[in-house]
Amino acid sequence: MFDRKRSALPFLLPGLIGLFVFYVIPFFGGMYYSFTDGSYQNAFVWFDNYRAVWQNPMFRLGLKNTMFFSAVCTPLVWVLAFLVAMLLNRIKPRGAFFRNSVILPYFMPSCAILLIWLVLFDYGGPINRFLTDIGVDRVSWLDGSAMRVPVILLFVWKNLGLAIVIFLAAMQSVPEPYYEYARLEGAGFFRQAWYVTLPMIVPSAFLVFILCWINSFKIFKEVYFISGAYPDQSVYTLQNYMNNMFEDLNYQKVTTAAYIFAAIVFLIFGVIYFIQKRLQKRLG
Amino acid sequence: MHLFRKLISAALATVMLLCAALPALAAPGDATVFRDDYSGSSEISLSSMAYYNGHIYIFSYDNRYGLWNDAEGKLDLYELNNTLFTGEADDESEDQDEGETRYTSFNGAISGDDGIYFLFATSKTIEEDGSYDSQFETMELYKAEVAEDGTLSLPEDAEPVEMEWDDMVDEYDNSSYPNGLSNPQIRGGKLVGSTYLDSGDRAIAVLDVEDGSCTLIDLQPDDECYLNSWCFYQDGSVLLNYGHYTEETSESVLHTLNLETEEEAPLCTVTGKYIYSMVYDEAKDTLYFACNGELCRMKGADASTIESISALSVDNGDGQPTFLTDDGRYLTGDYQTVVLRGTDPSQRAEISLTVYSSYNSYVQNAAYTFGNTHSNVEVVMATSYEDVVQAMMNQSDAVDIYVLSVSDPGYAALLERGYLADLSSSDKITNFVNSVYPGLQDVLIRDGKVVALPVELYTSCMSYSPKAAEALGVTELPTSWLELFRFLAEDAPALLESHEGYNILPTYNTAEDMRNQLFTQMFQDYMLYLEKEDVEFAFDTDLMHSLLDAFEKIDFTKLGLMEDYDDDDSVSYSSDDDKTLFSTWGTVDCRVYNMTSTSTLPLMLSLGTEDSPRLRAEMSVAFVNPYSKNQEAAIEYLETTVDGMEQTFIIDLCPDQNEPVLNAYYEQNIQSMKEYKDSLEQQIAECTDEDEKAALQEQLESQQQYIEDYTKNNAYDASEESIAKYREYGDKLRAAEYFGVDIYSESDKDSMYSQMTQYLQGAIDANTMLQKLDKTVKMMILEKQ
Repeated sequence: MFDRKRSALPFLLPGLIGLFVFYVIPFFGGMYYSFTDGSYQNAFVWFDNYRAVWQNPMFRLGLKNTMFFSAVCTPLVWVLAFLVAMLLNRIKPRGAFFRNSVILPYFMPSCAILLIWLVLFDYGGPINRFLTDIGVDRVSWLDGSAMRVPVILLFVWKNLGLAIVIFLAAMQSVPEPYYEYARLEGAGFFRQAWYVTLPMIVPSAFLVFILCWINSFKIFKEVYFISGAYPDQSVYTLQNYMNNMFEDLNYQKVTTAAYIFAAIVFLIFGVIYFIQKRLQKRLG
Repeated sequence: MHLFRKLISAALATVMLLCAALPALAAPGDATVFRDDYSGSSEISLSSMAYYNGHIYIFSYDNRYGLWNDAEGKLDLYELNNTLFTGEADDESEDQDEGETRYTSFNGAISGDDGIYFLFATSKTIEEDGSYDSQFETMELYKAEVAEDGTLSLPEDAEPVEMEWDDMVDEYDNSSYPNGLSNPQIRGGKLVGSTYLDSGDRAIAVLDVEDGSCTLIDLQPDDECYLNSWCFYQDGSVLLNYGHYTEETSESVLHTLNLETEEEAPLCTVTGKYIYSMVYDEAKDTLYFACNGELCRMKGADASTIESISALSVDNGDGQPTFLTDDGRYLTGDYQTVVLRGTDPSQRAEISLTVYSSYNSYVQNAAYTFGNTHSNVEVVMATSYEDVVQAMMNQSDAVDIYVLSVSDPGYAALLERGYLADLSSSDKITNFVNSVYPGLQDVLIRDGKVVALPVELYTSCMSYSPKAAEALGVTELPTSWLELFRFLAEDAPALLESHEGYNILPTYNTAEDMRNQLFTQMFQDYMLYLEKEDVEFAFDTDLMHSLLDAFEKIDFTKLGLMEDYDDDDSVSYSSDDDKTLFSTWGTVDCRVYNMTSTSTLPLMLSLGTEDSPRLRAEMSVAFVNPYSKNQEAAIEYLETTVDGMEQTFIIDLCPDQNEPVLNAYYEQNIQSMKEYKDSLEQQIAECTDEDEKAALQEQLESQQQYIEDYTKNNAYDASEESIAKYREYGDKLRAAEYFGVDIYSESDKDSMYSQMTQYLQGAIDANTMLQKLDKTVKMMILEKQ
């Protein structure tokens, strides 16, 4: 066994080296920046940077908005993906076209999609014209807090497909007799989903949840493309803050903000992981 | 025995001392022979240079020349008293028809292997029906007499050799001018130089010094090859340097040209280098040349042997010849500089100081003075640099001294983070900076230490014409932007209607342009107010709202401005200053030109009623890289920079410097004017035709007035009066810094520039603009907390 493990090492080495060079070393190197003052003397300032960044109103605003987007986008994508996957699972194998189509937005470049979004949500665009037609006032979607709507919609549109595919794959593993038994017992679509499907696909469900949450943290380029480095305060995310600090070459604030955020994320996912384990144990 | 030991010890000590001294005695040094910094401090100007028998000559445009004194490191000045140089020969010339004036011009000195030669061109000016044509007549070569000490003379009875120049004449309309020779040199009785033919092709001209006969060797380079320079080569041939530039490549292609057989043959190609100022050492089979700010050498015809010898800051010097001196140094120059460089790479200076001067004249000029007093330091002028903040983050020592504008975002970042070396060790720099106006010091001093040296200062403000104000009956000028806008809205249109021929604003602007200019200027002043006063950093304020309300009430179409720029009409960009009340272009400094002899005066405006006017100053500073390995040498370099600053610049910066500054060219110019006046008086005395006499009398009166005005206004660069006038504004100076927002950045739609443009175009109203600006600016400022 030891020989088999040793023979795997050459195959693992390139990946491990890459991981080390591009992740581990920068991770600890960045920590060094976060403990210095960035001046010519480069003095060691302990946690002064962390204190300053945590108290910075723009960092807090960015963090709040990032959490808001995560809290809205993740459940939205999760629930929609689960429902659509359930429906697609019902019409297999005839649903092959739909299964293939839903994943396409995930591969499309965001900037190209954004151009279409800008046209759609323009003040004189089709969406506002539709609103006017139904007697509703036009909305300035690309300005102010209303910009949250197109940003969220874009996120959902883009990430729904991947979530559906993961759910579908997990649902394939649920034995059909369970559904038959449930139908015999009088369970409808939603009861089947809640009592049969969901317990059987808990790990995948959590995977989808985590992936959506991670992707929601990355909501930035859409906002940046539309509104630049300083968008409306309602869509100013943590990445805006870090991006602006990076442009100023203020590596201390960039790294400090990143590590604070990393700590929060680890905490959140630690809790989620704990919940998942408990749930799985209960269901198992 | 005891005595013998003493003798041996003494001998050994002497030998050891000599050995230590040998490198100093044996190493010829670098030197700046001549540098004209155009400040008027140089006693002569550079027309041409020559070298003969160990002597270096710098010739001026008049009859003076300088002889380099190597021992003392200076030029000794002499005069050439031949009337050819003084212009008196023209007055005595014969064969002048009526309406013709013959004149002789000095075309430069030429070095020969047997002496120094002077080239003179004789032309005549023909006046016909009020127009003047110049016709070239002849080119004459004189040989100078060289004394033992190197001084030159040209006897009045010296016989020239008339040179056959007919094929090197440019004809244009009814005038003709001789083409010059580039890098003219005489060797073996032949004057050789490169020139242009009628066809525009380049050619090598070979003129016989004895009989003046000329042979033109037409050069036929390959496509996209252009002759850059030439020099003497082996066995009576010359080396031609063609530049070959395409999209993919740039190279110098060297050819040999046999002057006897006129055969041209390729020699070698130097890829990726633009070489010039060549000289060939036949004994060592080595070519020396300038390239990329360095002196280099190439052995044989092998480009792979090229090596750098020393730094060399002269421009493409095909206009000046290049020599190897008898002691093996390289001598060359450009239009304002002549330098000597050692040719032994092993004796290259130990310290190399890289200076990014941003083309600042004080910092650039210091290189030459500094080089003469610091032979162990070579100064390399960098023409570009990587992002300065990035360079500091990388702890790069590539550049030792930077020159940046204080409104540059990079400088703001460096100042904030302390990436500027402490200059306080230099008393000269410290005292200088501490004596600068307080309003300028905050960008020069950090934590009580001097970190930057000001090297450039420009001011900008509105201006007004006192004469126009008087004529228009404007007794109380606006003292704030608010008052100015109210005046333009309420009073100006009526004034224009009642005073024909007068303008409120320069009429070469369209109404839209003027609107944009006034808005931008007011806005810049507002940003300066936010930067420098202890107020909340915000745009959405009562003050700004009242300014914009007043601005929007102005009807620019009623201010006598153009509607549009008409392409068919030529726009005259000079509005009569005495008839135009306000201008957006005003400069405040201590010079007579800007403060007392001008027809406009600065109009200092506060924003509203509760603040004081500020004078916006764009300032550039020099500072030392804290990671520089040569900080001491860099600081000494900045001290040399301080020494070379013009007195007027120092007066602008320092309130305690009030000594008037004489105009360096005043005496010379007054002399010329008086000579012309004397010649007019003589012509009047000799003239018999009454009409012509009247015309000359008119010219004489005009010249008299000109002399009076010049005496009154130009005796000083900065007079007591102009300095006193400047001091009224000096304490209002405020250095415009970068505060985190680039007003002109168009990088995103919510940038300041974008908001302002939308407002000016009417796409958004003032409220929306101010709220958006505030939003962006506030976010930027909060981020930096």
